[in-house]
Amino acid sequence: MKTLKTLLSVLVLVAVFSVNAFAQVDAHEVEVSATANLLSTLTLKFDGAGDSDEINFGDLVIADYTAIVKSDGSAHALTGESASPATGKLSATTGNTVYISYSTTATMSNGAGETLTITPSLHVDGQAIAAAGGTYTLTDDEVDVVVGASVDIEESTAAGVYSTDLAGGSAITITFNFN
Amino acid sequence: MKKLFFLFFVVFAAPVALAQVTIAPTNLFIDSGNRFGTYMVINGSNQNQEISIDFQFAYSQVNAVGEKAFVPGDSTLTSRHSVAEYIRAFPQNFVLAPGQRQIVRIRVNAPNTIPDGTYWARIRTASTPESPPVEMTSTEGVTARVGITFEQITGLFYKKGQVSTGIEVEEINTQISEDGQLGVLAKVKRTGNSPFLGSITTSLLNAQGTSVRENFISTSIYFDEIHRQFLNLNDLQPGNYTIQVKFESQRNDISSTDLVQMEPVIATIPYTIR
Repeated sequence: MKTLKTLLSVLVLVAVFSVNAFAQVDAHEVEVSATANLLSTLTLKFDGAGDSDEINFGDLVIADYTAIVKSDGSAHALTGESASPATGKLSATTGNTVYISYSTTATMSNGAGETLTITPSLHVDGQAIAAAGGTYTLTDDEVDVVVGASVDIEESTAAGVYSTDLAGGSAITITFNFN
Repeated sequence: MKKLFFLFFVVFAAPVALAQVTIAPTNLFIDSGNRFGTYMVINGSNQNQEISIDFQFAYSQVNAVGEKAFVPGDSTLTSRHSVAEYIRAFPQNFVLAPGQRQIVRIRVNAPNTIPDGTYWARIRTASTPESPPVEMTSTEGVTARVGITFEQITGLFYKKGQVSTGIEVEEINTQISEDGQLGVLAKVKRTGNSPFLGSITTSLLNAQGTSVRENFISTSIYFDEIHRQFLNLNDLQPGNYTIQVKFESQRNDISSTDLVQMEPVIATIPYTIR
């Protein structure tokens, strides 16, 4: 029993040290090496069900139209019921400026030579950012980032699954340039 | 005993859910004395992340619409100010498992013959989640799946010998928008042999010298530029005011020992709201 208590004490000490390190990262004051003193962090969170790293158009019907997943919070247009933008968080120190740019277009492929071109859109903390680039000054230590897109569907579009991950596809690249 | 196990679970489990990819610090300072530095990449997501790192020379510049943008330097600026070609990173490409962190070691092999000053490069850390294979289900319509690659670009500054920076405000102009936003444009000359990294506070002072509007920004000025900040004039009484722009070599995200220091610079102009 004494051995078990000792083991647990050591584990808890290690755990407290570990969480302290992470807490310091969050407070922008982590020591990672002897060469670094007061440090800042830049964090992106696009992961999981609530914070998704994918844009979902839902199931699209084949016809001539443009499906739009909005990044400004307004209703999507001509998409399937499960459509949703990619949503995440950008964390850095309040008052810092971040220059943001992203791909003007990206390509989804069905892996068999058919492609669909997507045109992304992006909002940070409700502010529209142009694909060519725009500056955002953090009004808080953590702000919302929403990525939407539009895609043209045509009668001639072949049915199937289209993905940026399949051969011939290209993902949206978003660049956060920290000042 | 249950409490111990609960504590053990909470402290280990909670950080994993914190974030996708975290980089610390956002600006790395290395001097010619030791030539080494480190920064950390943390995968806070629940997916493997493919990480790749490279270096480029770029600097912030005010673009045609008055916004700051990072632009690549031409060959002249690159040869004068860049250390991108001298940087080596270990490791440069790696996969981070969920919750895993990696310390990236940086070495700058700049020649000793370069003049005193601060040189720089941008660190591009790209992260792509390892996605599961796409399920090719049969469908009569179109199912669309869009992946995203994130690039986080942070600063690397290499100090050689005696370093100095300074700001001279040559003039301040204003422009008012229809929605009551006052643009304050300060034409600045950057002096010394290093970029200015610090904070700029633009304020509107009333007749008593009290700040009634303020705009604070942490930023960097690499070369001469026209710096712009906005003040919201809505709901302010007509009268005589003073616009004040203050440059300080202090930032709340960077240690003052890393920043090249200068005395604060304050410039003012009178402003009347009619």
